[in-house]
Amino acid sequence: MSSTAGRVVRAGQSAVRTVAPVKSNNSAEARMSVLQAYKEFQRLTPKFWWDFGLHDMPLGVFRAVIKKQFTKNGHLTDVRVVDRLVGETNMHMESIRMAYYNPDHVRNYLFAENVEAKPKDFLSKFLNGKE
Amino acid sequence: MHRVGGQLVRGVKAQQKRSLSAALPPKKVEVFIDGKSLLVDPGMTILQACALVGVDIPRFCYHDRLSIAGNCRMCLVEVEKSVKPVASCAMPVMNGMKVKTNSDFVRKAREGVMEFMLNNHPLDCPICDQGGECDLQDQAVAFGSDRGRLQSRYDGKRALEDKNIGPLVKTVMTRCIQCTRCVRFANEVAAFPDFGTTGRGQDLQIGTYVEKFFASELSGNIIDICPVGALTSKQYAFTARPWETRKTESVDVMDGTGSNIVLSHRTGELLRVIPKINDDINEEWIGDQSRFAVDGLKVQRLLTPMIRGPDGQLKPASWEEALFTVAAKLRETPAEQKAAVAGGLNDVESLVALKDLFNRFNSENVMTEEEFPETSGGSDLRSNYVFNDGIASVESADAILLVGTNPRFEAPTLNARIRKSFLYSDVQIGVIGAETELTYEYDYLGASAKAIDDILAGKGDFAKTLNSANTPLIIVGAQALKGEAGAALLGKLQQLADKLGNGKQVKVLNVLQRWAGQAGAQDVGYKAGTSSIRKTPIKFLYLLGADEGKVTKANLDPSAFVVYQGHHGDAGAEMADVILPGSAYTEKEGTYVNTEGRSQRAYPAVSPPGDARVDWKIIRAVSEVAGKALPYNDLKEIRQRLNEIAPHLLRYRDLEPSPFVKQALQLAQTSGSIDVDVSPALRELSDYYQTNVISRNSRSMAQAKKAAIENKSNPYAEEPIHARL
Repeated sequence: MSSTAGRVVRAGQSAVRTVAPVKSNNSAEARMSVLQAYKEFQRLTPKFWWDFGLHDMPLGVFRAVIKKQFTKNGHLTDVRVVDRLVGETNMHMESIRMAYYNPDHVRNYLFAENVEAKPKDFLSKFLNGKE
Repeated sequence: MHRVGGQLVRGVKAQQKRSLSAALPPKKVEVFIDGKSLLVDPGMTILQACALVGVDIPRFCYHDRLSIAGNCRMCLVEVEKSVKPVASCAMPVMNGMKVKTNSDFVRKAREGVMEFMLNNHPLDCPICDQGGECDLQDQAVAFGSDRGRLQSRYDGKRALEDKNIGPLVKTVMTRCIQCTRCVRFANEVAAFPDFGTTGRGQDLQIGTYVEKFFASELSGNIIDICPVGALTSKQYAFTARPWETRKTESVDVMDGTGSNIVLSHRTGELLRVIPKINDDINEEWIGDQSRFAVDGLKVQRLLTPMIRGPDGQLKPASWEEALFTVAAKLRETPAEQKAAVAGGLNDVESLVALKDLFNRFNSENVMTEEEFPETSGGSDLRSNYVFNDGIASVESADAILLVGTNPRFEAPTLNARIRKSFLYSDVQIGVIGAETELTYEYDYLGASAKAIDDILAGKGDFAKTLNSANTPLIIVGAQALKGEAGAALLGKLQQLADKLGNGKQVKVLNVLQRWAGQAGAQDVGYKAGTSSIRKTPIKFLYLLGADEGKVTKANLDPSAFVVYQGHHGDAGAEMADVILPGSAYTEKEGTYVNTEGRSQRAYPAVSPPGDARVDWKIIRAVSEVAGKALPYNDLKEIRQRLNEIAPHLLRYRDLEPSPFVKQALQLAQTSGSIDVDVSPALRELSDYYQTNVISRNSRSMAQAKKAAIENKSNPYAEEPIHARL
């Protein structure tokens, strides 16, 4: 397949560009891979919940948290973006299984604990030395 | 000792000028550079003609702004029908001349010259400060041979003793290739005739003959013009290589001219200042203060906010505490008991923010430390307080009157221009003020401004010279324009300017400001002078970099609360109840208006030290804590505000003409006695080095001042030009 990726589309031509797929050939395939990743993650969730000491919340609540990580990206339609996120999810699962992450990482990632909000208005930026 | 005598040059040039003006308009001559035909003015040198077609001839001794010496022989080119190669920097073009700049003959000649030079030059590039920006290094690579014939075992290597010419410039005389650029600079631009050559051939040496301080305010420029590492900066010695440093373009704040500079910095540390060419302002020179005073930015800095405790001691505090304390006092003090005083080194952004803050609290009581009369329209008419004709006009003037100013120390680059005009034209110069050494001859008209009455009446020789001048120029120092007499003096000068400039292209009257921030402050509506503070008891005083001690605790209400915002712990910080650490000119992006009224932009090279912040942002933060937030959050928005106040502030580099000269004269106060002494405060070299808060904290400036004082008792010091005549 001849790739036009990276080439400037000539004016007057339609701005549609054919791009090489990363993994999925169409949105149906992408959807299937998302569902697969989701099922696998939910199977992993009890071990995850136990190993990382997250039982300050019930398992059901934690499953909902994991589900939300998927549904928050529900608006995405670009197949390549979806593929990329699926890939990242697989990496996360690998890291969880192999215990490359520690509980603090997980809590920061899922609940943004210990992360200070970036100053937004002038005065807080000034006092933080960002301005 | 060989010298280029100032007198001699002047005489010859004047004669040349007369003979040229009598001749017919010059016809162009045709020359062929590497086969390309080119029409150029007669009298142009081959080197200059080559530059027109983009052929860069290698050179060491030739310099655009100095006289031609022709002694390095590096610029040799082949001219058809000439047996020998020709030094292109000194040979004028002739009709039909065919020049070859890159033939085998030329390459061989250059290679030979380079071999001779390297025979007498040490191979110490790794420990030489010029390494990486050395003309000899570059040209040896481009034009030199890959081997030399020097057998140092038999011939020896030429070596010289180093000379001590003061605390600013380091000399390694063995590296000197005797291009004599420094000698010509010293004689022609800096007017330091002690610098010359002794001996001939192998024994030729550059120096002052007897050990002597390089007593000039422009001495640092010989570092830049030296093509090798013979003259380098003592301050920058063994510090960095040019390829390691980042360069930021900026504007100098040491005097009112706003010289263009380049700041070299590495890893967030400022290393040195070098001039940037700007033909409208500083050409390619800067004063020693501009170049060397930056080491003062690293000492005695205010690093954290401070609050004066009940025990009378200033203690470090957080920004929250400091801002809250200032804002509370700002809110509770009635409008008529508040005042703000701005010093001379501020950028326009912080001045605008401070004025806006005070206006929000119904106070118009914002003023500058530097005084200026309120008559003739005061700050309302811009022609009153700027250098109306522009700095470059000095070169076309045929009569200059200096009133109450010593441009040599108040604006060294402007003075270099006056000297240039003096050397290469018939300009007549008169001085009212102190009889000091100014690097050119002048008619001294007395210390009292009363002399202006005589000129107005047409009495005296200089009055006649001024009256008959086509482009007369009056330069008045801002320092002379203070108090009652200053108002009358300004009025009288405006009268005189009107009389002299009638029907001519020049505005005649030019004010030379001493401070980089003064014209900008008056442009945005600051009152000049602190007299209004003395009229009503002030309970809240905001000092924005005001360090000259014009306002003291004694001038205020006993219970007064003083806020100081600035970068150095100097006079202002000492009397403060709260200190807000600001940033110096190298640490913020700011707009500066020079004495001409030309707006220029400076970029930040390094970040403010410690907890210090950019100045206008501190004021913006105070305004928010005080409950009346100013409507700008970033640089773009405050620049928009600048544009609302005065659009010329954003027209960078342009010289905005100032109209209403006639109206200023109508409003002028022309009565009253002007029998006052207008001698400027800076009279001799030792006065020059430490004139502001940065240079007062600079180690190298202190050393230079000491050397200048010691130099006065040097029995070998040359008599000043003016006393010799």
